[in-house]
Amino acid sequence: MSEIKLQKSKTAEAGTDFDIDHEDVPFNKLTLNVVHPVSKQEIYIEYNKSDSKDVLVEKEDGTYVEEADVKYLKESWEATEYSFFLENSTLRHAEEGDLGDGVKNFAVPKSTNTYDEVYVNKKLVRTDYNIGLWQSDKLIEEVEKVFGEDQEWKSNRFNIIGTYTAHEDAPLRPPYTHEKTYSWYNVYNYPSQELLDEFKVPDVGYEYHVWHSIKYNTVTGKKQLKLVIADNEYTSNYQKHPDTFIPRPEVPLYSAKYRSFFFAKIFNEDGTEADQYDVFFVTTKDIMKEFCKEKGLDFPMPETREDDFVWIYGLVYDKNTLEIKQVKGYVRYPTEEGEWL
Amino acid sequence: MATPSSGAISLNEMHVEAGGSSGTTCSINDADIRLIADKSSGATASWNDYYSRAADWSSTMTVGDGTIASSDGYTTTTTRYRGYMTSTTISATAVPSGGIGSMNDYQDSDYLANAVIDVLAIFGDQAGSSSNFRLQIFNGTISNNDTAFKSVVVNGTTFNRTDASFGQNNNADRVYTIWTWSVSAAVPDASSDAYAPFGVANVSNTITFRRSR
Repeated sequence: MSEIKLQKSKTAEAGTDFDIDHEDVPFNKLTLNVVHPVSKQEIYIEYNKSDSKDVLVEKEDGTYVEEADVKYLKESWEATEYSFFLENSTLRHAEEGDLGDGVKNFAVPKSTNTYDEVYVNKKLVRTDYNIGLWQSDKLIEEVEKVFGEDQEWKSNRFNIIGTYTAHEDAPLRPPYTHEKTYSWYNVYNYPSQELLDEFKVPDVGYEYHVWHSIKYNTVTGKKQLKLVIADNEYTSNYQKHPDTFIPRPEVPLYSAKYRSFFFAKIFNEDGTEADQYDVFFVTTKDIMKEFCKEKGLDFPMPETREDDFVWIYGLVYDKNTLEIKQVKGYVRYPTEEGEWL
Repeated sequence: MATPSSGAISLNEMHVEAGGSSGTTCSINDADIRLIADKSSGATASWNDYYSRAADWSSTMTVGDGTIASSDGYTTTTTRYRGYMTSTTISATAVPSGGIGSMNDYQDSDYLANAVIDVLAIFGDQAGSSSNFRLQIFNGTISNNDTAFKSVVVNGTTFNRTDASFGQNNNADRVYTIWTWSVSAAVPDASSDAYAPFGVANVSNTITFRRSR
């Protein structure tokens, strides 16, 4: 770890300044100059007394800070600002009928006229269409050939459905085995007890997010349920909650925004759980690129798409070994002329 | 107008800044004069202690309330805002459409470099328990020291300047300086529920900026 000796400066990447608190006690504060991840404007930041005390090291010859702490603070700020940008650009208030039973305080996309592209190793591996688009009808037809009207597909106008494309250097993510697998997402609804019972999901007290997916493998005729799980005390504190703890690989720095980090598990119809878990997070392109480089992973976005606004990244990993199997990036696009971002 | 920052300073200047009439009888131990330097009765004080001092600045806010939809990926939430937020287009802080609330006074020559207050509000994600209390002004170069303010009292709750993070952008379309305090407070679902430090929406709350304490 290397330390930086700080100078009093409003223009240095990292600096220090003197201040006096409300009890007239003098202290030094950390100052940073950062670049906004979207507007690219330079912003000057001073940390408060408490946060400055946590990272500054006072020595006889001056004030120091660990280089790693400066990097952490800058990247954490960038990731959070990026998520603020995304959230303020894409959603609107929910109206009557937008949200399912018991779902409160959620906003919904500004448009249903959108589709999501999922990239792995610079290849398009999945496209998810809003359920109201004509492309969705084609996919529903394929599912119904094998499974019939298994669900009320259009129960919510924000539901989505998609299918997969495998590539030699971006194969199907495990545990899926066939391209002709269709993902139907039921959005703005908690998974019903009936659905959890159908897949024999044990009740361990997880906090589920308000969307879940049923995966229809039209080759084998089997279904799987993907549940999205909030990260909280029960999933993150092994000492207190060993039975509900979700092991996770190292992840890049992500937004500090509430709910911008979560997991997903896939259940088979017999109640067994897939060996692969998903972890999702919001971060910037630069942070994700550096993480992938450090870990020897493939950055998911192709060059032509990497400056599009990736609204979430995901890692598919083995729950036993924590080995990362796949890195995913999700981008949302409008289907025709219109505003999205 | 604040007392001088250096050089000669008279007792009369202190008295006038404390709210007294020029030329009237006063003493250095009068309560109003002690207050602008935050001195207790009989405490030792030097003339220097009275440099750059200003009387408190109080304003009345009609507390507004609003929400903004937000999203991280598939995850979507609603953020609630309570306090005052300008209807003018600003940078850095999302504002509910049309702004919220109002104040009877948005600037003072002795505080915040006489800049206009654009935001004095708390906000947080509904269903969450952490919030940010934010002061944003229309000035991109002000120094973060007691000449701006030392503390601000909102509806009885004190926020010390040095407990806030500070951000500044002099290149934005509307330049800004922001102080943000992290607050642990349950975020209400409705405007009729109190949201500390403010009470319910559409009532009056007193805001007092201070330079001495």
